[in-house]
Amino acid sequence: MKDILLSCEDISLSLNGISIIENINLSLNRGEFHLLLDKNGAGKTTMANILSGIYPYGSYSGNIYYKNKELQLKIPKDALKENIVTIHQDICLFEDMTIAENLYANLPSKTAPKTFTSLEKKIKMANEFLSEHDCPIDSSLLVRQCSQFIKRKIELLRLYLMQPELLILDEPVAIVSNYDMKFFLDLLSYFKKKGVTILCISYNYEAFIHLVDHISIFREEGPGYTISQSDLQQEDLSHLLVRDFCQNRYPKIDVKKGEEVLCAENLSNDLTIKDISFTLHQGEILGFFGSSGSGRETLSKALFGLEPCHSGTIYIDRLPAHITSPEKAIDLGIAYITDDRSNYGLFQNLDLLENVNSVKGNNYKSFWTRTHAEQNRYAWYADKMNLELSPDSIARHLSGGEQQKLILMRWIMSSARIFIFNEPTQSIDIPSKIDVYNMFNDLVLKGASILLFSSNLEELLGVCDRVIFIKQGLISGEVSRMDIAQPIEDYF
Amino acid sequence: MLPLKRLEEIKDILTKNKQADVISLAQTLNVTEATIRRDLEKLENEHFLTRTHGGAVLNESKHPEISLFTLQEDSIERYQNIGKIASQFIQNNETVFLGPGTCSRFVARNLTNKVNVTIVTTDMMVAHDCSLYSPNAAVILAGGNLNPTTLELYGQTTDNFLETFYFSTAFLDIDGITMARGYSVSSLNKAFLTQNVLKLSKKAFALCPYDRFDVESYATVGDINLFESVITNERVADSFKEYYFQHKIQLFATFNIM
Repeated sequence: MKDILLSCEDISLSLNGISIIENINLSLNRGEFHLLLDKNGAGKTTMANILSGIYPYGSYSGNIYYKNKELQLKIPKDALKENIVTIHQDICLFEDMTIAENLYANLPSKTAPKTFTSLEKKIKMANEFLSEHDCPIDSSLLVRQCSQFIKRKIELLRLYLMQPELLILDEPVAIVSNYDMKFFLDLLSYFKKKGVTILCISYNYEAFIHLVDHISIFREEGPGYTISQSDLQQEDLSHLLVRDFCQNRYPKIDVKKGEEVLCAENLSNDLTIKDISFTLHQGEILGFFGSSGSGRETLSKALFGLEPCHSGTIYIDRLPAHITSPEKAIDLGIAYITDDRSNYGLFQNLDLLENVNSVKGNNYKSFWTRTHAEQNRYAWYADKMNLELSPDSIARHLSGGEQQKLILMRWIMSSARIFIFNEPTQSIDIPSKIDVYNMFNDLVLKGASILLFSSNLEELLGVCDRVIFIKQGLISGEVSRMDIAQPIEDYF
Repeated sequence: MLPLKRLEEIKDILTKNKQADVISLAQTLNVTEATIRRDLEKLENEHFLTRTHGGAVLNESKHPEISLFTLQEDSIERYQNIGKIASQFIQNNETVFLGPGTCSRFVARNLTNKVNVTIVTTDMMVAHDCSLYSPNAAVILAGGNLNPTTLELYGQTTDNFLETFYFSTAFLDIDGITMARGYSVSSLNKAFLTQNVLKLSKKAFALCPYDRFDVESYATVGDINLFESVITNERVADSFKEYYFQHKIQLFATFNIM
């Protein structure tokens, strides 16, 4: 009889009426290393957040049993009390404290230093601890001053002091380069040997696949499946991920391609993207696939001047363009539709009319605002986009799909012709997704071009003419929609 | 405005309103009343209208067939958009079936830039629109019994004739879609024809304006999963968008924003 540490039964969670995960079943045996995979945003991170108490008990439905008792986490600290430790996708450290203080904060009583340990003593202890683990950093530095990589390393090293029973790792190596994988592998084998149960979410599983006992694959609809190490051959695994792709449900119109409108040559910043080159033609939808941390997002921002590019050239209409700020990008006819709609896409406390007019050039440049002309233009576009919202409502109250349409409306008004979409269908409902895909068709039929950055591979293969795969900042492959039969698993 | 164009405008206004007075015509067309009087006189000689004191009345009996050839103004845009999207799926050198119905008429109107396309249809109106707007496309009209109100051909002869073809793409007008009963059309003959053509085509599209969703028509064609691709307007109910996506059916919604 297997000793089950954690079992989740029919976990469902919906936010703002949109179901994020549905009927997830997952069980972990004590001491196993369990890898969690999915095709796209089918809710792995949400699951990790539930297990770490970020979505408190009661916000989801279904039951979680931990050590044969029902798990009721009200705040993240409750999870720590149960010795459930989570490493999140983003760094969670106190930025304005020293490394030493971070290391010794919130530790279980066994390893915690005495209550009134002075900072000097903590720094001394921390320096010893760090050099013990082959990571000689001065622990009196503020976390803020460290690179992303050092921050992650500190978080991971802290695990040695935490003594977890269940360790949840959400894309832990996304920002770690291959060079430092050994450090991460040592950590994994250390905890595995100690009998700690590990639940890991990662796309870069090749390096530690030999340590894995079970793999669960989540799917958007229907139950997921779990396979054990013995049934697993590595080439099978990536195959499993793409097995039930359905390209044909995406409304896609093949449009005749025109002139080259954008060309990137050897784009690099020194860290996350290296030597990226591609061309985009008129009427084309070019997709970029990469897991989080692969450089996909940095590239999308670099093309709009939101992130600096240290070398390489971007050509717009065959002329070299210096996109150093979003303003210049807008002047060149580039639109950027962000993935973080609520924080960066809309002005939350302004009404819809002000939101769509917020791009330079959308104003009629008169002293008077909210004129009839503006109202009429809003009404005309809103009708065309099937958006039944008064221009006076406040942006904060919109659903994901409505927000996306409103942002798109703003850019269409500004007569942009190169659209950069970053995760355009993330956390929006299916009907709005269909609308967004069909709007892509309308855009390309009218001569615009689209760059689509997404972590949803099925969507990319469904709507793009070509998909470029990005892995660790480099282009690892390219497929066109026509010859999808070729094996694409190697590019992940 | 050119005189000829003005005459057309006057005809349009009269067809719509059945009558018109000289003063308002002069205002809308921005010419003097004398000009309008002269125009009305010309049209009276063509037996298009009868002049009255201060205006004119349409000679109704003159144009009984006009309702078949012209469409209701307010619904044209939704058919037009469907026709534009559908025509994107017709490649050069293909043989395509256009079913009986209004949507197909608008597909036929959008073929001007296609090369060597053959259109097979059973609807005389589709053939009419094709030869009028897209004269470059070859039209084959299937023979059969004529339905005098819709000018559609049907019956055994039509079915036998169609069976000699294999279509690359078929576009079929649907008159009603519900979750429970699936696709339905306005007559039994049309239902038979639709089922028949589905067997004879490599790929088939259902064309259906948004206001025909959640409506049942007379004769059932097949259940909701019958077609792999549906072309409709952007206003179609959310429940259908969701159902189709989850059941792996392509749904094209005709946005026309830019």
